[in-house]
Formats: sequence, C-alpha cells, structure tokens
Amino acid sequence: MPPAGLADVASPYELRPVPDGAGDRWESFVADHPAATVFHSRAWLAALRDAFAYDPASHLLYETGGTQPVGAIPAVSIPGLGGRTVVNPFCEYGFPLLAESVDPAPALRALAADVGPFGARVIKDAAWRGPEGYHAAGYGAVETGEVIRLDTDRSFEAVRSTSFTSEARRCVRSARDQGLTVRPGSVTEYYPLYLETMRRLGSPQFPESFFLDLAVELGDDLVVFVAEESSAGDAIAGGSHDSEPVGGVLALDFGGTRTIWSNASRIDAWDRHPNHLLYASAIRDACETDIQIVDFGRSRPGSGVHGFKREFGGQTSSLASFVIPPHRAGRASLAGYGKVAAVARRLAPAITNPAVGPRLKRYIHE
Amino acid sequence: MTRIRLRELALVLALAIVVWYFRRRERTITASLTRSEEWTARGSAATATPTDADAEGGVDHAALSRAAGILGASPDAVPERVEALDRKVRELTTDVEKTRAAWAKRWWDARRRTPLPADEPHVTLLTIDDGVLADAEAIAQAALDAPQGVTIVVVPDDGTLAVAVGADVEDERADDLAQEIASAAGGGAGGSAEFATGGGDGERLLVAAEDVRDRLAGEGFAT
Repeated sequence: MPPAGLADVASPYELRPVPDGAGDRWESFVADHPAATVFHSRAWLAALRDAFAYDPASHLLYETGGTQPVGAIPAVSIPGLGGRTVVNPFCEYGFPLLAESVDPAPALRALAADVGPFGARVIKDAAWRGPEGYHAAGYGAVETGEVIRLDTDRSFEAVRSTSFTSEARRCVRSARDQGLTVRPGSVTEYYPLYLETMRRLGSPQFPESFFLDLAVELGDDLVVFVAEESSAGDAIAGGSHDSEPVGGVLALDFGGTRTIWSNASRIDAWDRHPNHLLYASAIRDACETDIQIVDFGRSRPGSGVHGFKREFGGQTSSLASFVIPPHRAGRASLAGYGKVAAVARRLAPAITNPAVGPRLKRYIHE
Repeated sequence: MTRIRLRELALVLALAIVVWYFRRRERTITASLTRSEEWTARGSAATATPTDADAEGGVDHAALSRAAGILGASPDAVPERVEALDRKVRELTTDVEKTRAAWAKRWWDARRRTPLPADEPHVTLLTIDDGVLADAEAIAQAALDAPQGVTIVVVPDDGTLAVAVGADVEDERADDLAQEIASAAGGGAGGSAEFATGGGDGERLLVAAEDVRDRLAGEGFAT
C-alpha cells in the first residue's frame, strides 16, 4: 500500500519484470548507460541465477504506458527468516540505472512497491555516483564501507610513481627480488587459493560453479592473475606453470572499469608480498589495455585490507545500502559479520565444508 | 490463582517485548533516515557541477591525477603536499617582503644623502625601472619618515605609483594626489591621507606625476 497521502497519486513510472535478468532490451539499456557496472550486466545476473537458483527480481522501468525502458534495476529475491530481501548480492553496486530524464525519487518509490508485507529492498550505491532521491522516496541508509578507484588511463610508470606509496613500491620490488612472478591464470587455478583463504577466515565460500559460470558468461572479461615462485623475470610474463601458486586475484572487466572482486593468498607466502605484486600486475595490465579505472572493491575503513588497498592510491568513496522500509535497515548492515568473525574462525571446518559453505553463502548476501 | 498470576506475567512479558521492539524499530528508522538524508545532501553537493570536488564523492579524478602528477605525489598525498607548498609560499613571501623593505630603506637612505629640507615642505619624484607596485610601496613607506615631505614613486613599466605625504604637510593628502595623477593617466587610485597607491598608463603616469610635482613646487614645496 502506498504511503498515506500518495494513495491517489498515480506513479509516473511502472516496473516490468525481466525474468532472467537478460533480454535484448536489458542488455542494450545497460550497455548504453555510462554508470553501468559489471554487476548490472546480463552475465552477472545469469551467473547468480545459475549458481544459486535465486528468484529473479530484476526490472526494467518504463514511463507509465511507455514502450521504451528508462531504467534498469538488477536484483534477485532472497528468502530469509524475517521475509524476502530484494537485493543484488555479493557486490558493491546494485543501484538503478536511470535515464537522464527520470526523476529518481518517484522511480525509487515505484521500486518500493513490490517488496511485500515482510520484505525489504536493499539498493547498494556509492558516493562517487552522487546518489539522489533515496531520502525523498523514504529509504533508510546503512553505511557499508568504502571503495577505492584508481585512474589507470595513463602509463603504468605514471601510476606507480604518482599513486603508489613508497611502501607499495618497496613491497612490489621485494616480491620480485624474492622470485615471485605473476601470470594470467584460470578460475580452476584460483579457486583452491580462494577456498584456503575462506577456510582461514571461517567465511562461507562461493561454490566453484559460480566462478565457472561467471567465467563462461564474461569470457575474456573475467581476468585471473596468479602469483607464483619463479626465477623468470617480469610480471605477467608467462612464467612456469609447474610452480605452485601462492596468490591470485579475480577481476571483472566491464565498460572500461576493472573490478578486483576477489583476492586470495597463502599465509605462508605473505612475507614475499604476493598481494602487492598481484595488485600491481592487475593495475599494470589495466594501464596497458583499455581499462580506465581499477576498482579495488569494498573494504572497511581502519581494517588491514583497507590500509593495503590505500597503498596503491586512487580515490576513496563511501558505500551505502539504501533500504525500504527503513525499519528493516538492519538487513543491509555488515556490522554483525564482524561480531561473529572470531567465532566463525573457530567453526571454520564446519562453515566451509563443501556441503555447508555454499548453502550458507546463498543466504549471506553482503 | 497461580494461573492468573502466570497469565499476568505472560502479559507483562509480552508488553515488554512489544515496547522493546517498537523502540528498537523507531531507533533504526531514525538512524537510517538520518543517514539517507546525509547521503542525499552529499549527492547534491557532488553533482552541483561536474568538476566540484566533494569530501566523499564527486571527485574530479582526472584533475586530481594531474595535480598528483605535477606534484610528483600520490593522489592521497595531494592535500598534504598542497598544504606544504602553501606554507612554503607564505614563508617565501614573508622573506621577499622583508628583503624588499630592507632594500627600500637603504635606497631611501642613499637618496637622503642629498639633504632634504627638514623644516619646510618638499616634494620628491622617483621613478623605478624594472620594478613593481610592491617596490614603489616599500620606498613610499620608507619616505614617510620625512614629516615635511611629499614623495611620489612611479613605476612606468608596471603602470603603478605610490604616494607618501609626511605627517606635518598641510593641505595635501596622499589619496588626493594619487587620484590626481592616476586620473590624468586614465587610471584610478585610493588610500589614506598619508599613503596611497594607484595605476594607469605608465608613460602618462610619469608625465602626470611631473605635472603634480611642478604644481607643488609652484606652491612653495622645495624640490
């Protein structure tokens, strides 16, 4: 039911479901929108559907009675104890892509209408985008961390010398001096490293099928870099495949932006700084291709991960989840995960069991 | 009796839970809407103009990267480097001002080796080649120690002038004299009774200053 006072006001917009998060209209609208991210792409939504069997909840927005879409909202509907949550899970950005002519507040109000009596809609947005209309539409907000985005539309040498801190430069040099190299890798090489990291953290893991689905859907736009010990020279130089990987990053490329979506490394290799070399290599590769921005993904200010990412420069921008109805804002809060982290580490063998972890992950849509 | 007590206890417990739930709900709503409002304000600021920088968002990455490149620093270090440069500029500006004042005092002292009449009004016209207004101001300031003197300092190349009128000079004001000269040179001037600055066409300023000097000489000022 619309809020009091709005009952007799017809919405200027209407939502039309996009069952598979796909379709030509969706793909065309997203491809043409300057703020679109990989998390708005058909590939992302298709991988979510295939790996988790979520109920699709993506919509195209139309002017009432119109024939051309003026907005695209990526989401799935996730069941929970208190009711369903409509959200774009496992990512930083789920904001609606709206045409310039669209007034955000009524459009967001239209989105609020389909959450059901116990449901909530969570929309993930970022300060770098200049979010508008949420408060006017009655959404509450929960801050969820920060994202760092580095301009790579310049030479790697310029990025290295002007953006990297001296500590980052030193660690990259040290990694090379200690014989680490980085080469392009595959999802199947990366997944064991990822699984080991999740076990160390006591965090439920994605099923490997999700990574494989993403690789199939995104093709060359899913990029994996693997760090390994080698006597060979420079990074991304096609080192020996016989060496055992000690770290990796999985990045998703879309529309000139590379999002470093997952990063894993072996703890016994940390003294050789594989993560520094991996990030530097992913950035170098971005500088040498048509990637204009490397997005380091979400991290919590004050955390070690955040400090690590800041060593590579870039612009820091706050992230928030906007929630309607606002009294269900707790569904978007990440504070609870931090509180249970210590306990989760103790229960890691159970939580990350192949039969348990992926099932749990389905309901943890951070 | 026990059953009634238990029923009352259950009702009290249920009431307490309901109160707790609604209070928590109200706190959540207030906090989340407040944050939402703050974000709206930030978003408006960030999108006010495409190149405006905001503390959290709307940053002009290209401009920041260019600034970082010029400074040879990471973008994160730009504010610190700009602050350091600003501090350095202020220090250097202070040094230049001190040096200029010392130079002007020596220059004026050298000029006064040719004795000026101490007990009667006198007028002095000075020209500075390759100088700027700040040089003219420094010399005019130094000339204020002559209580009976009217000192006009012109920098033709810079199109500027400064006028100092000693405290004991009667019927003449620095701002009026500066305005008289600058107006004749197509410019303007301003200041106080004792000290004024102005500007206009360089060559005409010099001619106008000479005319004022000659007028004052005709009125009894020594030259």
